[in-house]
Amino acid sequence: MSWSFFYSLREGLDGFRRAKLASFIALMTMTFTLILVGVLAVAAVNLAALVDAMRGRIEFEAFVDNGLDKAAVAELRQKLLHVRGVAEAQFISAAEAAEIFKREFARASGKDGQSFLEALDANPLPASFRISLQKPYQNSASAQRVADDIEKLHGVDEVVYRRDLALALDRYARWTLIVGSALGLLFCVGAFFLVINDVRLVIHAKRRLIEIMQLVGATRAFVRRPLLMQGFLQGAIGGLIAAAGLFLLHRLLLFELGATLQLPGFLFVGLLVLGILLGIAASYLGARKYIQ
Amino acid sequence: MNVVRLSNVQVRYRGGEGLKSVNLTVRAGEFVFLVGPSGAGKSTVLRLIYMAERPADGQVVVGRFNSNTIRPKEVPYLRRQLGIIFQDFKLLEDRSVYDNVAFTLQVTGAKRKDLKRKVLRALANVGLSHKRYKMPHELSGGEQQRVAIARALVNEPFILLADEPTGNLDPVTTQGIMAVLEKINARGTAVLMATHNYSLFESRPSPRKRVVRIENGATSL
Repeated sequence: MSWSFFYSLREGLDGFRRAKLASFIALMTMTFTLILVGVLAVAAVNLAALVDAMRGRIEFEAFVDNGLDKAAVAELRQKLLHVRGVAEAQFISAAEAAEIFKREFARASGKDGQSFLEALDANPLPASFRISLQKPYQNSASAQRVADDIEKLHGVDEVVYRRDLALALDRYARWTLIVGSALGLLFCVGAFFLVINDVRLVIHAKRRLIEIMQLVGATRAFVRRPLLMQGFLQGAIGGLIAAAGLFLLHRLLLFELGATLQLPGFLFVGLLVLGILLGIAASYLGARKYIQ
Repeated sequence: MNVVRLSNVQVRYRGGEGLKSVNLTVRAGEFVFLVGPSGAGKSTVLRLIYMAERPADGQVVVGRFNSNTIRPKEVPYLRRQLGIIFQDFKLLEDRSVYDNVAFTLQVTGAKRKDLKRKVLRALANVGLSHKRYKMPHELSGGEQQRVAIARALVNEPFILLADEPTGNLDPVTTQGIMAVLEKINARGTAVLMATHNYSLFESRPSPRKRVVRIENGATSL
C-alpha cells in the first residue's frame, strides 16, 4: 500500500469528523436510498418471476379438422414444431377433448358432464393441438405472430389463446419497470446531491488544509483523493448497512407473513457496488466543482 | 542567472486596482526586498510568481515555467520548487510542528525513508528541533513563523517567497526571523520578501540585498 493511500484513508476518515452532521445525513440518505432501491429490486425480481410464471401458462389451442388421419396429424405436428416460437405441440383428439370437458365441467359445476354430452347426438368438440411457446416468445406481440403463422398451416381451422392475459402481463411488466426505475433513479439522484453537498461542507471545513496543500505543491488529484475516499467509504458503509437492513426486512416478512419472497444474493453485491459508485461519483463531481 | 523574471506585467481587476507595469528580476542567491505601502500590489506580485494568478499582459518566468505557456496541472510542480511563507503563518493547528513540516513532503509524494531526515534538518535550520512535538498554539509568533519557514524549506526550493513575514511580530522577534532568512539566503536560496517596512532593509545591509519599490501597481528601482 502506498503512502498516499494511507494518507487519503486517514484524511477521508477525518472528513467525517470535520463535517459530522452533513456526513451523517449523507450517510443516512445513502443507506435509506439503497434500502429503497433494494426493496424495489426485490419487488421487481419477484414480480418478474410471477409474470414469467404466468407467461409460461399462455398456451395456444389450434383446432384442426376432425377428419385428419393419424399420418396427417403427425405431419401437422411436425409443421407446428417448425413454426418459430413454438416449444411444444400436444395433440388432443376429439375423444380426449370430450374427456377433458367432462372432467372440467364436473369440477366447475359439480354436475356430471357425461349427461350433457350424451344429450347431443355426437361429440361436438374438435381435435386440437395444445401449443406452448418458447420463453422469448411469451409476450403479446410475439404470441400474435406465432398464432398468425400457425393459422396459415393447412389443416388448422382456428387458433385461440388468452390474448388479453398476454397483453395485461406485458402492460404490468412495462409499468413495473418504468415506475420502479423512475423511483430508483429519483432516490439515487437525491442521495447523489446530498453527498455532493456533504463534499462542499467538508471542503469548507478543510479549506485551510486544502489551501496549504495547494501552496506546497500537491496535485489536484492528490487534493481530491481524500474526498473520493470519503465518498467511497460513505457508499460502502451505506451499501453494507442497506444490505443488512434488506436481509433483516426479508427475514421479518418471511417470519410475519410466511410469504415466499425471493431475495437473490446478487442484490447484496449490487447494493454495495451501487453505494460505492454513487459515493465516488458524487464526491468526484463535488470535488471538481468546489476545489479550484 | 535569473530565477524569477516579470516583464511588463499587468493585472486587471474589475474594481480597477491591479498591476499597471511590473518589471522585476531575482537572480540566484539574491535577497530582494519588494517594498511598498499596503495595497501597492506586493502580494499580487508574489501570487503571480507562484501562479495563483496570471497576468493580463506581459509574462512571468519562474525557473523553467512561463506564465504564458504553463498548464494548470503543471502549477503544483512549479510550487514544489518554491517556498512560500505568509504573515499569518498558515500552519495546521491540529498537527504538531514535526507534522506541519512533514506535510509538504507527504503531499508531494516524497519517499518515506527520506522524510524524517529532511524534516529534522529543516527544523534544525530554523533552530526548532527541540520543539518538534509541540503544537502550533504552544509556540510564540516568532516560533510559528520559523515552523512555516522550515515547511517552506523542506523541499529545498531555489527561492523563498515571503509575504510580510514579520507583519505580526514584535521588533525583537522580527530581527530573529530576518536572521533566519539571511542564513537561508547565505546558503544559496534566493529570497524575495514583500514588506511595507523599508527599515528591515536599512537595518541589516548586505551586498546580496537589493530593494525594488512598488507603488500604485508599478515597480521602480
